[in-house]
Amino acid sequence: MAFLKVASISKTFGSSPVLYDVSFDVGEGDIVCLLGPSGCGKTTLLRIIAGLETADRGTVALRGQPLDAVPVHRRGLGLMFQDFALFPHKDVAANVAFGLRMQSLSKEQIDARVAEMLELVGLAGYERRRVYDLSGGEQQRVALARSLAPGPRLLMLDEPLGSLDRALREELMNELRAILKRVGVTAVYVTHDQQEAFAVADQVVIISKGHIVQKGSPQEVYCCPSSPWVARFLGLTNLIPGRVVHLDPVQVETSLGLLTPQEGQEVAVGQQVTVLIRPEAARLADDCMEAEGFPLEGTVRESSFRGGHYRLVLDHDSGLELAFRLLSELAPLPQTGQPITLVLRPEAISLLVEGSHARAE
Amino acid sequence: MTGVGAKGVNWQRLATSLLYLIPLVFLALFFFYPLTEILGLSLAPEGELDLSPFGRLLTDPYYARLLAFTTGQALLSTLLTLLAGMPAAYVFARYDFRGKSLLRALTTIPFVLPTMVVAAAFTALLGPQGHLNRLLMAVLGLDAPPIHLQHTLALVLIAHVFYNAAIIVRIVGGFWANLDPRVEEAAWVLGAGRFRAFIEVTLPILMPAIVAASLLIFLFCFTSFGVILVLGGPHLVTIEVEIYYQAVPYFNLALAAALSIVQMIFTFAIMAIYTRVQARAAVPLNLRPLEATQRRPSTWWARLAVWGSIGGLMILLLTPLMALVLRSFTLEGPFTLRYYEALFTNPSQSFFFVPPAEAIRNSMLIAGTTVVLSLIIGLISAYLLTGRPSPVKAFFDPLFMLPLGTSAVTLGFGFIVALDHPPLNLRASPLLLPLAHTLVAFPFVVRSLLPALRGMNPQWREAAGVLGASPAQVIREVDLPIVARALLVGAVFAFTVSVGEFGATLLIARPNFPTMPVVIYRLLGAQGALNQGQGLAMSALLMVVCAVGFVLIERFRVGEIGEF
Repeated sequence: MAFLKVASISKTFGSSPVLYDVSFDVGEGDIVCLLGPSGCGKTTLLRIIAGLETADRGTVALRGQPLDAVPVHRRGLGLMFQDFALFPHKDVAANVAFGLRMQSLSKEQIDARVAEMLELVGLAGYERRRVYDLSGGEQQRVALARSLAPGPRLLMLDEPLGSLDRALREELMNELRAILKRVGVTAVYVTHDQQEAFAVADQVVIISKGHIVQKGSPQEVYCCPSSPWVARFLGLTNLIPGRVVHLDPVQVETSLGLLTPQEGQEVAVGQQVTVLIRPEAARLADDCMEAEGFPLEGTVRESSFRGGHYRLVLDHDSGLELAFRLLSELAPLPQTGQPITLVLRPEAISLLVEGSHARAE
Repeated sequence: MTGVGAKGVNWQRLATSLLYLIPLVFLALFFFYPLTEILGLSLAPEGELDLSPFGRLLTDPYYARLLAFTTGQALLSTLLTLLAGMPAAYVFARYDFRGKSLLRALTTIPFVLPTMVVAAAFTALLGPQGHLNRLLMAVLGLDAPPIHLQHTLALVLIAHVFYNAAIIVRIVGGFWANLDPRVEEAAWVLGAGRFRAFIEVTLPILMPAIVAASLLIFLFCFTSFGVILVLGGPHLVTIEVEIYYQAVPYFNLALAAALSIVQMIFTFAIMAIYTRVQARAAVPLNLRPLEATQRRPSTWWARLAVWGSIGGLMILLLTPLMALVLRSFTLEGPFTLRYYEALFTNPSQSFFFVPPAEAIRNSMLIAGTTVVLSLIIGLISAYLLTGRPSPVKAFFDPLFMLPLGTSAVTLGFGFIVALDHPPLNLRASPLLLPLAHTLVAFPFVVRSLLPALRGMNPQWREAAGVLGASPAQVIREVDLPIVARALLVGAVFAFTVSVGEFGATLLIARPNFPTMPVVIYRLLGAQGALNQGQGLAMSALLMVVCAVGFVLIERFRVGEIGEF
């Protein structure tokens, strides 16, 4: 039995529907990311699980127990708000202690637990600090400690890194996963940033306009987006329209030529499909001794150095524009306007069927 | 809160709606009912329609002159206050200097001072026996006082500037302080000189704040009562003073009612313009935190501007108050405590009904009751106004402010004509004065609470709920601690308003149950050094009470951008 079961949730605000028949499960100890662009309904879904909103239809159950009739404060869940919602009139320790006091624990127990939590998030010694004097990163840690302190059965995090700057986000993203795993808490994590979702999640649920469009592990989702929309949302832009001309193996006729994508989905000869070429698919032809793989010729439109790799945009003779990520070599970067030949690895080419939303059950 | 059973929600809704009725019933009984009685009295003094009171107002040139003088002195006062307040508003907005918050707080002191204290203070400074005349006589060797400001328009105007300069500093200065200086810098870069940039960029942006502040000042001066009654003497009469004369000494209630109606039409029109200007002033501007807009005065020119404008304002605001305190100890020359002692012993068997000490007790009792009443009504009203904007709230918001735009004398007059006969006979009720004071005080409570309630992030309540706090615990743990400061500020406001209230009190208070301002008025108007001295002593005491209240307000105020 799933630890958390969200079944057929629908919700309408006024006349605008925000969630349609949303269902997903979370296994015990897992971190599940609800990933989608802003306004897709993911925060509303989180608030429904927390009990801050009521669903029009559908049910939320924890360990088989329906939560729908349980008021917020009796659900025993944790929620970390996007802007943290720290109590401005309480210091760091009092913020963390709040949920423990609601459980009527003794002062010794509360003090011990607060100390333990602040230790966990690396804020030992911050007990008496005022929350509005803290930096964004420190506030984030206090919020995490506050929501973990009462030992919630399920922790929800609403864009917990959303209000932090990029460098801090990178750093805290990894630390956050480490802390959640160390505590072993089951977590539902809402974000619009796929990097963050991939770094933190065990499972990803992609939501678009109130619908779940794909579920799966970060690798599955990245490798096989269920639709061109998902691919684009994940930052995969090399989408080439084509037509299936052969089965076993599947071959697709495109303006790049005849491509052989990875097998996966049922298609028929003559069907219109989209082929995805992931950006890490290409290598310079000169570097590959083994000639297997699909050769691609074009001219360099732009190349920019990105540290460990460089980004290369290629103008194909057909007029298509393709972006790739190539490993940085000691050799100088290809110059704009220079003709270039790349070789595409077959594993990095996959097939998307327009309009279909693959179910990853 | 969700998750509560459907039945529970309904009961909660019903209880909430009933609670929200309290301020509405209060306003209906003690504001609208008296006003309709005044209206009825003006239109039909003997029970049938009779427009002769209005006819007299229209035909007798005395009343045209009355209206002209009332408007004229209010206009002049507003202009002078702008001139006196703008330099200080600029300096407080754009410069950061040592002692700034204390100095800015000091500019607000007059605002909480009772009119009787202000009248006494200016008498002590500029009256025939005042410090300035004494000083000039001593220095120049004169036999008679050289300054004759007693009962002149000039003295009234100075007192009005004294009173209202804080409004400019607060409203215009507050707006200016958060205004992005880069807007003006952009104008400089584009080739505008400092003066040009101010006229073309800064001034238009500030205009809504300036207009709003000016309208407020105009309104206050238009209905000014105590200052004109005492400092203006028998020859300077505004509509407000005339209402009092007609209602109390002449007992011409119909004419007083007609005057009240005319004055109300004017004040409500000004109020309506004020709220519209205020709404427009709320255009989204790129407001900046104070650190980004202020600098230290580093050139000698900047220092001169800062200390010149602040110093000038401080002299205007503080010398009368110091003169009052000093004079209350040294009216007849040497230092003495006898005026203070006389307050409590009443040695002269004066013709007043009660020893002044009893007035202090009365004032405290009334103020205490007012605080309780206005906190209850103000808190409910403020909760009614927070949350998602709705047409109902847009309607109630100005409604709760209406009593502030109604002159005190009119309110008192309304109580006299409406609440001394059935169905609502409160003539002998000790609650009569607290009710009148609550009418004036609870809008201040609402205004103190609103920023705190609106600034409350709804997620704080949600976070508490998720962490296991029940709805009752949420109120105790989140709402109360955050609102507590604002509640304290509202309480102190209500207290100072009640202690200093003069206009309505003068009409309503029973002769044997006077408050401090009423006794000050009687003492200052009586002959003899002892009476004068007692008046000054009691004014000084009242000033101290209000100053302490004011310090509390400043200390616990919630609000202004950038602060929590």
